[in-house]
Amino acid sequence: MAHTIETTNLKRAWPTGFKLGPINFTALEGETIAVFGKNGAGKSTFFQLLSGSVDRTDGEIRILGHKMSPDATTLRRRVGYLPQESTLPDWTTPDEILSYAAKLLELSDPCAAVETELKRWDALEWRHRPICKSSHGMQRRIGLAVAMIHDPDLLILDEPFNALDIVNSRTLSQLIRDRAARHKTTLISIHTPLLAAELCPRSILLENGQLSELSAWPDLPLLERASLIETRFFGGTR
Amino acid sequence: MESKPMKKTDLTTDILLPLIKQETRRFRASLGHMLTTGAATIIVLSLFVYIFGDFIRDKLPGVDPALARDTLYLFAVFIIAISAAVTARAAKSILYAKHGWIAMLRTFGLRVDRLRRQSVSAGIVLLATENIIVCCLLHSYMGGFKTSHAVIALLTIPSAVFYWRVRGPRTPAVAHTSHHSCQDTTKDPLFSWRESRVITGSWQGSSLRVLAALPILSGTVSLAGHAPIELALVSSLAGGIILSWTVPFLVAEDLKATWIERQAAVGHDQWIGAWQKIFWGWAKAIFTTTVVLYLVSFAVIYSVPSGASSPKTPDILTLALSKALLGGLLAAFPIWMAPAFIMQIDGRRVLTNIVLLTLIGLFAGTALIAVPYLAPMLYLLHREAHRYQRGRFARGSYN
Repeated sequence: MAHTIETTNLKRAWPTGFKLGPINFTALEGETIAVFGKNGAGKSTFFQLLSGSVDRTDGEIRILGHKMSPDATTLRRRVGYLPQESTLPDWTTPDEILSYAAKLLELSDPCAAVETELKRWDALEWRHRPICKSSHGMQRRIGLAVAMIHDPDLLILDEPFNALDIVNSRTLSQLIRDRAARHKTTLISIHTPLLAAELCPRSILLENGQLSELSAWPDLPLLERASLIETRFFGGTR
Repeated sequence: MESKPMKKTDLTTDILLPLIKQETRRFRASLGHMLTTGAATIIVLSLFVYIFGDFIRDKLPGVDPALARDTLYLFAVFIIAISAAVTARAAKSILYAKHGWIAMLRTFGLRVDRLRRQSVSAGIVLLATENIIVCCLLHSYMGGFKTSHAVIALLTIPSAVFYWRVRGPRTPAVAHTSHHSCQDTTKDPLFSWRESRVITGSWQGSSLRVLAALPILSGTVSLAGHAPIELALVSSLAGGIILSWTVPFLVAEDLKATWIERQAAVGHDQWIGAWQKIFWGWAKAIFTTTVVLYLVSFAVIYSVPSGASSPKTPDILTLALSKALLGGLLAAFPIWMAPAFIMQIDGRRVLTNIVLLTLIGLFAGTALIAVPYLAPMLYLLHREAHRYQRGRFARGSYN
């Protein structure tokens, strides 16, 4: 299978002193990977680098076989990215935001794409309501719709389940499984071990800017996977 | 179990002390940035005075003393209003922010009416502090004014501005929907998205447009009343600079939610290009309006006989037209230049960018008044500034 993500000695340093990497990481086509890590471990920075939102300090990132950088416009359009803080413009409506995103991405049928996403995220009734008057969960759903409207080959979701209700959490889980079935790669930052165990056949851990593979994870049954995470974070034997 | 009586909030320990600590930490965190900006501002202002000092000293004595006093009055009012607005902005963020102290104290179950009273007290303390600072700054300069006028101005203007800005959480800066739909066949969604939000949405944009019109109008009206042309030109420049302050507000608001564009692979050139296109339109509009106002003023001067002898030379038309074009250029260039400078430091810092745009406007504008043939230099400055900030949108840590 082809590599969707391939990083070589990837490093990023921030003026605050935080350093990420060096990271050597590969993700294959169709993989769904859970990314664990404490707050401030570097997950968001890692995701920003992979999506081309920020530039690396050193090393190389190859996405779908091409070099990724903030200037790689065509490549970046094959990646969907939902940041942790997916602030939406005040006083715009879900319909307007999705139409805008569809036009920016130059989709062939923007209206159909907008309808599909609104329907999928149960937002048809709210489509003309200002976003700042909507619930936090609705804003998150519209953020997810923006990240997925072009059905990207690589989808990077930073804590996507935050604020989602039980119905929409199931919708998102189903979408992630569908993507895997269609050989599309998904990276998810997640803090719920059981959910990750259920959705992701592979998982990685970021600690103080360093990435490590949870190599035992793929072979473990669901509950054992969750217990592996508990052990990694809270100690004890396994 | 007996419940303890609810603790009363104390103005000093519960609100003022934490606020002072919070602000001290904020100050310490941005000290480097503030020192750099402050030092750069002082250097550029000193350079400005050094280069243009002779020119200003040469032109000022020609201004009628009554007119000069009125202009200084207006300037003082402007400074008082602006400083009150800046203080009010800080107070508002402290008092009404979602995660501010007042919001936090409310969640502790403290009585709302008492909190409200103490918020007002905190507001008064901030306002008084701001007034003392303004008084110190304007002391020597306002010495020539009547004491009663100065006292009334210092009591009424900041209070009015403060009340207007701090009265409570209001609608966000961009307050209207943009009426986009998937059926729109616009070729440039980046431009149309911003244009619809800029034109109809921003109350700061609307306020500054009105504020910018005042000096331009008063300058040209005073020109029709035989005031020196330099005064009208300086007024046009002031109007242009005030209008350019719209850009930091709008861009900072825009940068709060640019992840949509960034994840759609929109690059710096496209994003800044959309803003440049909008403000190019604004520049054309203000240029045309100002030129027309100047021509009307000249028509009044030369058609209505005045006590003073009018220079009725054959090249009056050329002179009037050249001055009108210069006036239009002075009013229009700051807003046209603004997008080229807005990402030089940090697009999210409104105040820093206002200072930057003011300095650039002062520098380039005074140079133009002194030597109008320098106009082509504006193009070079604009081009180089754009080149220098290239890539900042795509590479910045904006959300």
